[in-house]
Amino acid sequence: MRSLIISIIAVSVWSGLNAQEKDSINLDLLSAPQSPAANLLGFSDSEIQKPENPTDFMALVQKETSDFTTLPNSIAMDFRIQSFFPAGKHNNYTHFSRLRKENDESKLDLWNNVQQTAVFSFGYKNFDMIEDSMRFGQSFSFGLKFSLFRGGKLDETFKSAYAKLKEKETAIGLAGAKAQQLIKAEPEYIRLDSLYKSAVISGRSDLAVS
Amino acid sequence: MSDNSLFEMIHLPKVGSAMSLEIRVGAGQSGIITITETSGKVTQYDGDCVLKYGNFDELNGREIDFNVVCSDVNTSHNNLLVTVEIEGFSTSSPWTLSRQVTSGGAYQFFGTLSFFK
Repeated sequence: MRSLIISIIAVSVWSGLNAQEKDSINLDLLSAPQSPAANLLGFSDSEIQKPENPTDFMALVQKETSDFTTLPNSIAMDFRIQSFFPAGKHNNYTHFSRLRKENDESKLDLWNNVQQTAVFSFGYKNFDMIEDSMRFGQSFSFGLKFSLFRGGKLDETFKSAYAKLKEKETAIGLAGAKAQQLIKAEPEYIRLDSLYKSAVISGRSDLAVS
Repeated sequence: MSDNSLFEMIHLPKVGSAMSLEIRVGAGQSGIITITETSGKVTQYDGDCVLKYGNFDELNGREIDFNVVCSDVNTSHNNLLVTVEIEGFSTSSPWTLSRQVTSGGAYQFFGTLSFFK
């Protein structure tokens, strides 16, 4: 914790000193860092892992910890929180692309913006294991970043193309469902399906007996 | 290698009585999931769906057909992905259906899940 506080102070002091050297005001200082946690521990952008789903996340953790046997010397990760929720929890593309309230297009949907853009970042470094490090001990950092506003409204061209895409996908989906039912009504399909199912079921019965 | 259709026979356990079937499309994709139940009832979902079943006796002998029309709306991806998962008892799920497409491409995945005791 002490290291974390020192890091925050160090970043602030460094930024302040930098600002004093320049004649102009640097408005970039007001922008949120790409990855707040990694920034505090001095990770470069290429070192930050960005898993897109729980499977990626677990695979990364497994790799970085050598199959859960050791702690890594350093790791920085950014992930979008909403991607980790189960399906149906406001995490599909329609939710992501919606900027305004579903039932009132004149109002911005702030809560949806927060949900869709929230990125959690964390970093860890074991400075004792890093050669020529000026610091020692271990440091953790955590950060949360989200946007309240994501522009006024969706681009009209995109919106109309997206609506047409949905319409076509829906029609193709219904046609696909009809095709599936037609194929399943074919006598040859029924015969093969029945043979296959009896083989699987009898196979399982044999296993149960043995 | 890509798997773009799924046919699974699922052995319902004797113990337990609730399961959920979850179908979702990958990040950065738009997708419409169309489900057809044995009764002929067709339902469509946008992006993902979670279907809950509370009685294995009723599920025994039934089939659930699905198809997913997927489009790549994020130009940084070219691998369309659909995940099918059953929760409530042990199966070999999640199953992943995938297909390499050129940027902006669309593809339809088909599958059938058959339940038996």
